[in-house]
Amino acid sequence: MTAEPEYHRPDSLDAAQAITDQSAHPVYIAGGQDLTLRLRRGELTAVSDIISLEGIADLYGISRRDDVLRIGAMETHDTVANSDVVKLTIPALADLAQSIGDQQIRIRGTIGGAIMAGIDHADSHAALLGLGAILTSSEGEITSADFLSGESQRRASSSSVLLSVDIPIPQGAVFLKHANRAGGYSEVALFLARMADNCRQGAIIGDVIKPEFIDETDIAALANDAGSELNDRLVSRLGSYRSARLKSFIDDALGALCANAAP
Amino acid sequence: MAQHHSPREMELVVNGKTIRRRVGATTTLIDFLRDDLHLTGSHVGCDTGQCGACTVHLDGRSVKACTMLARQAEQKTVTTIEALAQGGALNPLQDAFRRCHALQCGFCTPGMIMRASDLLTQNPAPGEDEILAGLKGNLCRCTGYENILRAMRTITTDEKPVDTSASDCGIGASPPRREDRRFLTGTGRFTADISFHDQAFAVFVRSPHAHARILNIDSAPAKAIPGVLAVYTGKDVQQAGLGSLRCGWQVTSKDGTAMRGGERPILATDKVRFQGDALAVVIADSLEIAERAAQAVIVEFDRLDHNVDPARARTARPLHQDASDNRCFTWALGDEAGVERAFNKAAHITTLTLRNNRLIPNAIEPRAANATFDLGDEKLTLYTTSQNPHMARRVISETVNLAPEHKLRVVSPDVGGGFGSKIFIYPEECVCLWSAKQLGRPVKWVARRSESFLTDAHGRDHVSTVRLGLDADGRFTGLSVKTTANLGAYLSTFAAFVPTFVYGTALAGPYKTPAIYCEVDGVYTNTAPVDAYRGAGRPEAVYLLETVIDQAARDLGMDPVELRRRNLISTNSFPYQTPVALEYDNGDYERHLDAALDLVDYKGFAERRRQSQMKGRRRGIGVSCFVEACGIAPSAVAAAVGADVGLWESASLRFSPSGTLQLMTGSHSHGQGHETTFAQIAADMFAMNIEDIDVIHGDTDKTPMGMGTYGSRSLAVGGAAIVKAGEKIIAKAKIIASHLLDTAPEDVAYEAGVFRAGTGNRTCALQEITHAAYVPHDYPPDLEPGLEETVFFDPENFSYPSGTHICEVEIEPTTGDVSIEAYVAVDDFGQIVNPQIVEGQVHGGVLQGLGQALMEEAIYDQETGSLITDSLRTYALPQIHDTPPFTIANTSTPCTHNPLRAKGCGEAGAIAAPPAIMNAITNAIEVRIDMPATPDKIWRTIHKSEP
Repeated sequence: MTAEPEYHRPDSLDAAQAITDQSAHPVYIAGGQDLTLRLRRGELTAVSDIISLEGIADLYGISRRDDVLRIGAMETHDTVANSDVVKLTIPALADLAQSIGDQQIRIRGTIGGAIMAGIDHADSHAALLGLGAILTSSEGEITSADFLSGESQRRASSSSVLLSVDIPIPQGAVFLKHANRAGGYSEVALFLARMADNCRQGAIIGDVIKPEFIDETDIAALANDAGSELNDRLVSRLGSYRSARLKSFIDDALGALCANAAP
Repeated sequence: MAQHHSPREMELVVNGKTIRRRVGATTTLIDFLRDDLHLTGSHVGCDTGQCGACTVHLDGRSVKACTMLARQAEQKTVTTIEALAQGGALNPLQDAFRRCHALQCGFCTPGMIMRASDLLTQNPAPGEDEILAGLKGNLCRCTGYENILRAMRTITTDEKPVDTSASDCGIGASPPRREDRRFLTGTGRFTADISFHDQAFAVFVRSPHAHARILNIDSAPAKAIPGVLAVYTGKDVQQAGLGSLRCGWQVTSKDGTAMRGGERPILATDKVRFQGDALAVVIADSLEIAERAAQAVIVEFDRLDHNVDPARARTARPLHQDASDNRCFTWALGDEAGVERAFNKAAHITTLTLRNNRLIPNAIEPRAANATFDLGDEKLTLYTTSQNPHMARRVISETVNLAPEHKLRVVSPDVGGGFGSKIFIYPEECVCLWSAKQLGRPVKWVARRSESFLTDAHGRDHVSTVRLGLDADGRFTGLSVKTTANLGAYLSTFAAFVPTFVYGTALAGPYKTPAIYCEVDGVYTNTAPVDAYRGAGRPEAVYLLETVIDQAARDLGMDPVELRRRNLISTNSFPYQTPVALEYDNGDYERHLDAALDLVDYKGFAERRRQSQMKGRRRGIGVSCFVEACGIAPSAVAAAVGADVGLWESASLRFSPSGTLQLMTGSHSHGQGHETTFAQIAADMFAMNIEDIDVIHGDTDKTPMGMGTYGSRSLAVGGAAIVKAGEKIIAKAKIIASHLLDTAPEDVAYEAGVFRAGTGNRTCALQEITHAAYVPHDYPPDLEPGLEETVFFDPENFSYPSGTHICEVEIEPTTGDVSIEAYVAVDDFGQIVNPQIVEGQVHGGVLQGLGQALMEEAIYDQETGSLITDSLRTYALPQIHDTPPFTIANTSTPCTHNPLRAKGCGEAGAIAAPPAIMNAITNAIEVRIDMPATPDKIWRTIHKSEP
């Protein structure tokens, strides 16, 4: 038999770390929506401590520093979607946040929670991976590419606290998504950006694929439906319909970026 | 064992009050609000954060209280639906919902209101798209969302609610519903809201396998958990002498043999037959302990080959010993030889094979039961989510043998939608009753949504081949239908009835096809039982008919409207005897066809199609005409089709001395609005205000015997009983009046609440009569005191509503997305008592039909036998943005055999919509596909692509 875990609401990173160090099986909670579902499914019976990150002021804030947008891990999707700074710097990221789930989910769900929950097709991954964001955690910095290449289960049980994400600000970006009718999650979605160096890059996510970073070469292959390794891999995983949606997203995104890039 | 922590006390403000409580770390906010604070206005409709019924405000913003922990609300402010109506007055949003009839069963309403109110706080004047996006996270299964949108528009624009002036409350008026106040303020009382002192909780141990022998059940580890009161298995129930659940309808096969197999033990004994089949129950002091203990029950299975596909049932491993080919019956109706003769002479025969997709009803309120046993008077009481409490009492008493009928009370309090799925008697409520008696404690079970998916009776699931013969002029000469109907693993209460008597008889539709033959194999598969779901048999029949007619029109190069018109039964043919047993009393099919064509501007379609083509889109239009037999049913018909029941309905009218009225009905309201419409009928007869009438339903101790609500029968049968009871009241009142007015009873005239002696001026108001009825101080010796009458009404025939629905779609070929550009419904429901409620039934029915046509499909994995679409994350229900642009109108021909002249209206939308929508899609993409017409299916069809 397992005992009810203890709930903590530390007000600083140090306090959170102290609790973590003492705990047999700690788990962090941000908005809590994924965690509640996992608790209900009986997946977290071993957890001894639930540590809420809500009270830690360092995990909040949205600001621009030069060419980087920094978003605190505890900022909600709703805040990101409505943030003037985000809308000015990376409007596609605001669009992305606004497309997540439904309004109640956006009010509770946080960008940090979405990253750490271990769900591969979280929409946020598309922007972070596509723009080459840097994740800053209590254990240091890691690129979103390195982070997402890890096993999703391991991410979900990570004992490090995500503090913030630093997102390079592109010249322009587009987010396009085909949502599952029932669950609202992305069956396939594309984030495509024109970066400061004028090169284009982005990422593809979906419920049956791993998050996939794409560069100019990949984009060209996808746009021309050329028989690249990436193209074949995606088509075989996504099937004909979702592949066609992705192809049209690529076309639409390239068109939109051209329009954006006009001097 | 891990160390126990005593939860710390937390503080928060709930509805303006500071609360300090110890709350466990894993308790969700919704459980805290409902169980600890007894704020039961917020509901739980799912377990994946999809439905929004639990929406509350946290620091002023709407959140789903089932997907956050109570502890996350510490030091915050929580507002629930209970706090919205200040001083008892509805706030403007609640009032708009009430005036626009934006709620039916009321279960999702509190969450919807809380979300909408947050939306309006953030954005006081949202546009239509902002409303759609803003309410996306809240599901409603009853209203079709149309009236929710109207309610929102009355707040955000100048749109006025339809006239619902409360002064007019008789037949034909739309007074605001009287039941709405409690639903809008969170004071409705649903089964899950009811808790007793000493409450115990039941959790079922269910089979993970589709088909397996039970080798051993080891309940010792579960019983060892502190707080566990009992673990019962199928053997325990069997040894206690409890009977199995059986189908209430006996179907005889065409070779004269009785139907075979399908008995359902209350808990599985020897083997399990579908994923979710219950084989044991754990009863414990708390739900958490019961859930943990249920996982600790160790079951050894010997897996058997399974089959989930009705087409393969005949050769699959038998589910039931007495049905070796998994065939329950092969039932036939009509003239097989006559149809073959017609085909031999036919100028053209159109043949189609199609599938009617399997659906999961998904009332937003999950099934629930709470059983109590009163040791003092040895009486069992069951609070349950039932559409027909009297029937539940009879079956649980007679068939399951739990208690004599007079020692069993069944109460259906507020019930959050049913759509058929709550007609049936399920094992869970029987087990709760038995456990309550064994333990002497109230035992409560509330289905998780995941359990609902696995165990609620599913709907439809037919595979059919249909042939339509036509002569050279396009007149139908013969119709042949062969269907394999999936019954699931066991025969549910109405299961044998649905794909036979209500299906085969519906195949005539509004057409004068002279020869019809229908043959149905009912087969068992390792899937959840299949039973009546909104329309029950008639949607399947009308879909076949309307699809094959469109195909025939394409084959012959005819306009599908013209082909229909040529074959409609004409107005001078009534009463019309169909070749499939029914006698239609009345109708005017061409009238609603013409009205619908006008409303959709059928003539302008070609131009609209051209404009769509210029945008690269494909436009299609689809017509569906229907006649349905509803208002179920004459008891003689029930007898003829093997039911050991009558299908009458009852009403009891009891005037009080002061002249107010209690109206008891044997039918049950779970969103249909009986508390309003039934009161309107009485208000009309007695010239009363509906506020002086109390409608009582859903309690076997309080109402006369009844048959419940399904088959669009409540008004046509139950409403008729009210009129008959009213007539008896007036007859008795005339005798009392004659005494008061000192005249002969035959000289008393009654009109609008006033009794008059002859043609003179001496009158007596109803209130004087009611007073005299109970104060019979100077009565003549032969006059009985009191003013209370009960009537049982058994209709002579079904009622036959009919209609034409037309749908126009535009399809984006690059995505396969379907946009419904117009949805016109013109229905003939006879006399309409409350137009606003009837319109709401059409909205809701059509949206469920749209769900079947465009997105809903229960899919079992052939390999594993598991349900793939097992949650609201995988089974799509229509959402608010799926609401089509409705144009709704009525024509009317009276039903000739009930005093209200009313026909049923609840199922029409679900019957008519799927073929209208699918015919429109076929018209657009020029290839017929099976439902649901999902974007990827449409895209693959257009692009001739493999998956």
